[in-house]
Amino acid sequence: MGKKVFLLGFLSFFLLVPGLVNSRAFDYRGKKILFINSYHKEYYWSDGEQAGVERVLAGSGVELKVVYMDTKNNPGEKFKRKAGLKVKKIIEKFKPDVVIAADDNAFKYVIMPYYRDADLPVVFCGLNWDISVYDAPYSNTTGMIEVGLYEGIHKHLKRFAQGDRVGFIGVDVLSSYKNADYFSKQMKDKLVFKEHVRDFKSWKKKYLEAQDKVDMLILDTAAGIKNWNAKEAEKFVLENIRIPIGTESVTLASHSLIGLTKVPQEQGEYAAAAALRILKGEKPSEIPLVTNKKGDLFLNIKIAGKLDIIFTLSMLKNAKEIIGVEY
Amino acid sequence: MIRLSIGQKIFYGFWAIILLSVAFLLISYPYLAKIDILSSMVLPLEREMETSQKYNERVKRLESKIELYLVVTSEETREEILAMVEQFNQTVNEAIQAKDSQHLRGILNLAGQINRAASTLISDMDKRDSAYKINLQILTVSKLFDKFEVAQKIFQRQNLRRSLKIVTEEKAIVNKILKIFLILEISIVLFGSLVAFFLTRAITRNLSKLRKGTQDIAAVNFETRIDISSNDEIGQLADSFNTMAEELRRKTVSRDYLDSIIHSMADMLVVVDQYLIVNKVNKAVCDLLGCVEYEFIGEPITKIFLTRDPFLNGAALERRIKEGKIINYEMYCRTKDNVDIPVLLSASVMKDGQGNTSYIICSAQDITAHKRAEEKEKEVIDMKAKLTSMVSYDLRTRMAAIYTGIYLILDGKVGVITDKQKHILGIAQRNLDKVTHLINNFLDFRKLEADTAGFVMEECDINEVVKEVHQEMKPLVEGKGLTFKLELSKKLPRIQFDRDRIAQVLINLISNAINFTEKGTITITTQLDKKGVSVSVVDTGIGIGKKDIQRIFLSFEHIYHPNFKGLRGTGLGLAVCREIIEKHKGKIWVDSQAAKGSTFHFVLPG
Repeated sequence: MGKKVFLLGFLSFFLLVPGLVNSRAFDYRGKKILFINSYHKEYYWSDGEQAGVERVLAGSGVELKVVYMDTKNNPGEKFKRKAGLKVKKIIEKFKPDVVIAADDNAFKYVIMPYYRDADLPVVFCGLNWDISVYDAPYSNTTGMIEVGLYEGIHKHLKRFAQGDRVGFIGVDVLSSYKNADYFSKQMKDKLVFKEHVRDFKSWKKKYLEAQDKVDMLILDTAAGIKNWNAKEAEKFVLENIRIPIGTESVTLASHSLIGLTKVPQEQGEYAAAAALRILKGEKPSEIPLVTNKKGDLFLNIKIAGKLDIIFTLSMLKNAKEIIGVEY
Repeated sequence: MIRLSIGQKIFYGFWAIILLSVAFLLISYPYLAKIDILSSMVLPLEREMETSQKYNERVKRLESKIELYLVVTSEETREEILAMVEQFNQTVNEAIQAKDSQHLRGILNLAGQINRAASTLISDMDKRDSAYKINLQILTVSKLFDKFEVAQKIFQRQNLRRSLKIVTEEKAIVNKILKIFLILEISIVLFGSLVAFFLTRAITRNLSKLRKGTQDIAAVNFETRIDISSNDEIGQLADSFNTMAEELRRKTVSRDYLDSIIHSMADMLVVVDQYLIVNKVNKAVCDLLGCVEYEFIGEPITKIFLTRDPFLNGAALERRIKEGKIINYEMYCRTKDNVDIPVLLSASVMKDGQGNTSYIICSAQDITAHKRAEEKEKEVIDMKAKLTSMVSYDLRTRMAAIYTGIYLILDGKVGVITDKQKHILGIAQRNLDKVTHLINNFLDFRKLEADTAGFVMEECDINEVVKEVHQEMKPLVEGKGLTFKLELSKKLPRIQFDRDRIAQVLINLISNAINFTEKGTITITTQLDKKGVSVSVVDTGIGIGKKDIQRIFLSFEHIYHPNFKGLRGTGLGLAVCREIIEKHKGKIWVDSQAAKGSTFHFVLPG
């Protein structure tokens, strides 16, 4: 009797221990995720998001499929709707366990029309500022909302500005207005100068105007400005700058004292991590909606020299890129 | 095959395990030595790590001070930075010169560069150089900090890798040692288990045989033997067991044989212990007394043997039995029906190896038949005595009448007789005297023999009796030309005896001496003997031959001698003497040599 109990205990130990050890890692093998890229390959933002997703899913065993909607190159409404339908068919065929919808068009033309409150879990990322415009969130959605890092830019500029008046020069496009609105809400009465331009000439004009009216200036984007000449703009800025200028556009980082740009990988990484949680058994509604926090810092020491601004060691150390260094 | 004792098996097994352990330790020793070497290699790495950590902390402090200075631009911070730079420079230079470690060289160089760059930055700021230039210098400093951080990380990683390599090597060695120890443990456990198994099996199997053997012995099966061939202690025990069983069997056979003998004995046999408690009785006892054996076992011996001897009380009897001094002592046993049976009891003591009394063996013989025969014989003797007395009386009466008649004739009372007639009547008268003497002796002997002669025991001086007899017999002795002497001891005690009877003994002895002594002396001596009083009658007569000495005290025995053919007595004189002396519980004997004379002794107890 004693011998039998001992052998049973001995065998149970060796049978149970491997089970306990393996239970630490969830087996994702056989699970499928579809990543809907609103844009096209080699577009830095969506490439960054996709890179974030791939980094998190690497080695998990999940089968990842990427589908491109190419709506940057084809901004027409009809194309976008057609691209959405195409993605829907791919979803039906691929039968993913979770869908990651990257940026507004993927959500607007695939999720909202076809998978609103559906059984298929959806994680979105890169949705600008406010998802209520899509009547979201739905019961089957969660994700990361993309917000501008203006508040961070403002904090940096404030250190070097002479006053607290803030100016904003955007472009005459919907997203730029949207950015201006949200920034306006954050700054309240401190945002005393808010302009949207259509071409390079009017941009220069408003730029010069802002030098006198505000103590710090935020440049939204150059995309959408007609006749934009980056070189000329750089020279123009250097010659006329008198106040610290910041931007969240990588393109305009060479025209600003400080650039704080959003990190697309952050969006992709969060979306992939949320998708894995869903695959593990959590419901999308149990995973909170968040906004992006990370930013890449660009410092322009040529402009700093012009403004007689000395950066701190930590800023220079943490900067992703120092612009204007001449050796 | 070598046969080992259990102790030897355990001893050799133990040493085998010890040797196994030592062998494994010797095998694992080089590995342990290598671990020691590797461990000593870790220490410098730890020291380098500590040094690197120390520089890292200093660089971090410098970095935070520079950061603070760039934000607040205070003079105090500036001084602090310069002081730190100077102190750090000194430390770094000393470390580089000391050539502490090749691995730390890169970090130290970078620390030097940081110091120099920080000095340049402070100098640039002091000179109020352009913001661009200052920013460039800050950038330089920043990159150096970055580089330092990276170098530090690389160093730590490399150091870690080196440590890891050592640890991995150590782990491999430890694994080898563990394997060795695992093999050792398994070997010891297996070997120990095998030794324990075989040893236990051998012991338990043999013990089972022993147990069965003892059970057989307990069941009085003395034919059982244990078959254990091992040469160990259990084997020896089995040999002893078998020897014991054989001895038991042999003794049991002997005991049965003895029991058979004892129970077949016609005589009674009672075995008692030293306290005279009955331990065993034989069948004769049970048959005689009409009891069964267990009725006597545990009882005192006096339940079987009783005595009527007034001079031997219970305690004295017990003492004599214990001493084994009872030999053919007349006792009696009382049967279940209260019939007393006379027995002759003898006791002998059985002693153990230490000389202590273990048992007393009492044997007794039923003498009922003997007693009856004795009584019958006594009756016959009595009848003979009565008859003899009656005949003798009649003879004596008639002979007295004859003697009186002859005396009257010889005396001339009835008329004158011739000389020839006188001579013939003289012869008749002398023969008549002899016959009368013969009859008197014969009657005395018969009385003594029939125990009808009354003895008057009184306390007297033997010398007085001797003197009286001497006076009485002196004429006869001297009449034959012999010298009659007395040699009397003056230190004799008064003793109990019958004066007349002892006088009769003396007269008989002296008469014999007179008869068989032609010349010389007859001497009577008295002396104190250890058994009483001794009286001797010594003559210088013809003596007695050796072959005759044995029978001279028997009734009607005559000693033949060619010189004394005419001397033929009744043959009862010495027999009467013997009877009288023995009735006094004394002893009579003779010392004699032919032609040299005889000495008759008798001793009377005091």
